[in-house]
Amino acid sequence: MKKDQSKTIAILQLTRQGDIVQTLHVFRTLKELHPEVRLILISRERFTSGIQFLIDQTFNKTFALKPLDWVNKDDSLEQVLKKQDEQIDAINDDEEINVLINLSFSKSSALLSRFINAPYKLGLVADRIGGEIAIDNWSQYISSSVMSGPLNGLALVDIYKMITGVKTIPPEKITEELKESVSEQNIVIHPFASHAKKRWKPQKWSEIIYKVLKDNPTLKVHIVGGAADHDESQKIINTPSLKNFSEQIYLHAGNANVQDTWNLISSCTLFVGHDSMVSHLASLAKKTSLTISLGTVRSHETAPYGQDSYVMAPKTKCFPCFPTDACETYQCHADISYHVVASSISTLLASGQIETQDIENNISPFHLGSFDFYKSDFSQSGLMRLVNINPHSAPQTKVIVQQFLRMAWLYLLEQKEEQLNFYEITPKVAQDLRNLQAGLEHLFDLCEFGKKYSLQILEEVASDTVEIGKLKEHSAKIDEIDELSLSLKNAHPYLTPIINYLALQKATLGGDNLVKLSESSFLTYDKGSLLVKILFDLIDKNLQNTEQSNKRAEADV
Amino acid sequence: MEEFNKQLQKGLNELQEKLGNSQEASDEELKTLLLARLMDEELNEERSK
Repeated sequence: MKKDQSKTIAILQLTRQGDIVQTLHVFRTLKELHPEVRLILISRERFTSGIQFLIDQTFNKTFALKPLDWVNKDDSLEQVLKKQDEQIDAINDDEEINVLINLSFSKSSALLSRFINAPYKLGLVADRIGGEIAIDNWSQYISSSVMSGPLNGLALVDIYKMITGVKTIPPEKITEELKESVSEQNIVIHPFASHAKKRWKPQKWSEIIYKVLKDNPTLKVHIVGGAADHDESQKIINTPSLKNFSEQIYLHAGNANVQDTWNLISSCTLFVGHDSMVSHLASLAKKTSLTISLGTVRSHETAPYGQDSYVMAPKTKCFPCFPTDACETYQCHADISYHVVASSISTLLASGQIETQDIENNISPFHLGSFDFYKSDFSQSGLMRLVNINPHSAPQTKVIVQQFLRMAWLYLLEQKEEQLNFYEITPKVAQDLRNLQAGLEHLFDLCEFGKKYSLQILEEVASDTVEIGKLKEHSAKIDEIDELSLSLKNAHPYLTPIINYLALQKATLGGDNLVKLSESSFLTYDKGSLLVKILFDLIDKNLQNTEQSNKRAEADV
Repeated sequence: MEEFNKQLQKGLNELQEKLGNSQEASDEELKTLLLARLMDEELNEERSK
């Protein structure tokens, strides 16, 4: 039965629990702003079942798919397809969906999006040859930047908000009353993650817990995790050093469900853990959190979303890696010491926050050079950003490029201007940036040529005597430009997001005739030129600033 | 399950050939592809448990 509602928005989120919790951030805000909107979630049962109590706070209805249940022992393909059809029909018959938003960026979700009825669709949708088309600007951004490497400087929650059109409002600050309402100090630690690359070995957590309990004699530590984490959690607490603290340590891993974990987190003073679904639960509960990002984790993308979110991220050259990258040494695990984590926990327990001065006062510089220590902040446009508060961590080229790209994309796609913070850069980073500028000049030239040949096609079509030979010639030049652009990625990997975006735009040019296609082609190259110019200028300004600072320093000497 | 897997694989091979030749797929064929992908993702999750 279809509901008599003015607007129904359906969200397709087939990926894991952590992604669903980040999605909840977006639609909780939408529901606060527009309570009259009916919200539907289409997801997988295996990921919704534990967190249905949270989903129900925001979504009016959940369609939880259980594909393995569609197959009985002797079923034919036809019978299983019929069950899949029944599930799709149930969605289409039950709901009059006005907008379908696919936030999962997987092949299966793109195909499913194709078969759900809705007049407007956002995100990925499959075409007739089974390929995926990113419909809106920010979905194209995800396909070209987020999926291609670690150069995305925006929080996933903010990108989801921009795809959806939800106003980007900073979450409220964690108030003093909230902190004071906690009668005794409890911290929740989740020392686990979905992959070994993303979590420390138990021993390191034992050391942290020992140090924290020694420094905070009345503190209670709650260790949370799933059934699969039970053995590892035993290894953490069954160490001789923690024997005397057994009355202060509460082990919940394997004994508590997600709702119990949520209740525990909601009443704790501080959450500490790796990047995981549980760290996103802490942010949804508006808790101060300290996250240790390791392995494949992209801090700027998936840091717990909200105020008072602290993140430690190693400066290891290969960090963050891809899930498929082989690794035997786990160097990034060694680049953050247990001393800095324990000391930071104690500071957060004592004062509720950490400033640069606290790091300077409490942690030896010997431990500070190998990791970035971020604190969440919200820009004037309401978007989260991570600010490095570690005074001994010189910014790496990739971080600077990531942040400049963030500014360029926000200007291009949202007309949002963010304030430029100059980075103090080393000669090596300055050289990297000059190399990148050379690549940007090359890409700018290619975009300008692309504009030129797109215009020449338009002029040829508009002329009294259209010469097919000339049209072919200009078209061949455009193909050549696109090939040269793609080859630039090898020499200048930092250009990958821009080149990918332009390629994606070219692959889905709007228009059904030569004139409209050429106009779209011109506009795509024009976007490319603008992006490149912004990035070039930002780098130039930072290099000039560094040069002037160096001259002033020399003059002072 | 065995018969189902055999038929699914056959359907996918036919579709693969068609898409490889840049031919458009029918809704039925794309639904078979959807089913294969959903099953694949579910089984991967089962295996990673």
